[in-house]
Amino acid sequence: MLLDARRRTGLSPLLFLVTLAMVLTMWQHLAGDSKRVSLPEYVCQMLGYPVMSVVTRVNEALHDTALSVFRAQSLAAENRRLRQKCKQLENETILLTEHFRENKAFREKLGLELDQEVKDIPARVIGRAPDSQRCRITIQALESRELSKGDIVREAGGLVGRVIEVMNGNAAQVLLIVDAQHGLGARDQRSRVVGIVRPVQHWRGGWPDRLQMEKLRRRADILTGDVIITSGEDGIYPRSIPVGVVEAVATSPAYAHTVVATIRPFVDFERLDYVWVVPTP
Amino acid sequence: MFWVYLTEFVLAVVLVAWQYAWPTWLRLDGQPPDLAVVLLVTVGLTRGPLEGAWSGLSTGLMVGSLGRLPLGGLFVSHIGAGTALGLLGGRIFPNQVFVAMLVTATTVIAMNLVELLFLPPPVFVRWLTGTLAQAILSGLVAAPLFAGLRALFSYLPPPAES
Repeated sequence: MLLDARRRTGLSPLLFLVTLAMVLTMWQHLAGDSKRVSLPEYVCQMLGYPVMSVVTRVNEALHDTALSVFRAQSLAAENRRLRQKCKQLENETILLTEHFRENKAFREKLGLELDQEVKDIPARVIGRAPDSQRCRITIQALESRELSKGDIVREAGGLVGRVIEVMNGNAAQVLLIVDAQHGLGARDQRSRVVGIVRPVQHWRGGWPDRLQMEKLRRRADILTGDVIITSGEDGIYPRSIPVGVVEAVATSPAYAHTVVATIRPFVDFERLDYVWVVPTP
Repeated sequence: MFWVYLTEFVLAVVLVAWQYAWPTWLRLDGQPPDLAVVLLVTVGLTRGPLEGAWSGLSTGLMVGSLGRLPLGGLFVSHIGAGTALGLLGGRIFPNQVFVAMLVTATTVIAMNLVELLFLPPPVFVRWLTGTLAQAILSGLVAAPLFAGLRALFSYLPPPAES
C-alpha cells in the first residue's frame, strides 16, 4: 500500500506517512474549531469502543470470579451486613419520601419553583485516561438515550463529574471532580457555609483521592464529619448532590485569615464501574 | 503487503483499546502499561522502520482518538519511536524477550519525555513517578505480549524493505 503510494505520489513511504500525519493533525484542528470530531477520529472511536466494552466486561467477569473464589467467606459476611444496612436504608427512604412530599406541598403553596424530575441514564465505565495527569473516564450509556455535553454524572455515593464531550451519541468523556482543572461550588450541609471545592494535588501516581474546600473565612462554621454537598451556585451542577465528608480543617497556608477543609469524596474514583448520567434540562 | 499493514492497524486498535480499558486493580501506581509501545517495539524490532512508522501512525491516531488528545505530539513521538526502533532492529537482538522488555521500558520514558514538550503536566513529580511506574509495568507486560506478537508476525510475509 505504502509502496503504491510512493509510486503515485513520488514521495518516499516514510515521507508519505509524515504527510499523512500532518493532514490528520490539521483535520483534527479544523474539526475542533467547529466543535466536531474529525472523520478519522470518529472511525477510530467506532472501532475502539466495542473493544473497550468487551475488555471491560471480561475484566469484570474475571475479577468477580477471582473474588468469589478467594473471598467467599468474607463476601458472605459482607452480604449479611449489607442486607441489614439495606433494610435500615429502606426505612430511611420511606421517611425521606414523606419529607419530600411535605416539602413539595409547601413549595407549591409558597409558589416556589419545583425541581424538575428527570430520569437518570445508567452508564458503564468503559475506559480511563491512561495517565494520572488527566482525571477522565469514558462512559457508554446502557439505554438508547443520547448523552449531551454538560450532563451531570453521579454514582450512588455522590458526585462524579460532568460530560465534557459526547463521542457518538451514547459514549462520552467525563471530567472527574478530582481533575486538576476542575472546581465546583459547594455547601456545608449542616451550617450552610459555601465555598469552592478543588482537588488536592499530591506527588504520588494515581488520581487525587482528596478534595479541599477553599475560600472559607477563619471563623467559618465547618467541622470534621460535616457532609459537603453541591451548592448549585456555580451554574454547572444542580444543588444538593453529595460530594464528600470533611476530614480535617486547617488554616490556609496562603492566607492566614482563611481556612481550608480537607474532604474525602464519597466516590472511589479508582473503582468506578457504573454511573448515573443526570441529563441537564 | 496490504494485509500486513491491515493486521498491524487492527493490532493497534485492539491494544490501545485494551490499554484504555485496563482494570484499575492491575495498574501500578495508578498507571496502565503502555501497550501501544509494546506493539511499536515488536513491529520495529522484528519488521523494520517502515512498518514501525506505520504502527506509530496507527497507535498515535488511536491513542489520540480514544483519549481526545492533540494528535501532533502523539504522531511525533509514536512515528519517531517506531522508525527509530525499526532502525535499531538490525543492530540489537530482535528476538530476545529480555531485550524487548528493556527497550519497551526505555521507549516509554523517551516517549513521555517527548510528549512532555507538547502537553506539560500540572504536577511534575506526579508525572515523573507515573512515567517510571508505567515504564516498569510496560516492561513486564512486554514479555508475554512480545512473544505472542512475534509468533503472529512469523506468519506474515517478510518486510518489503528487506
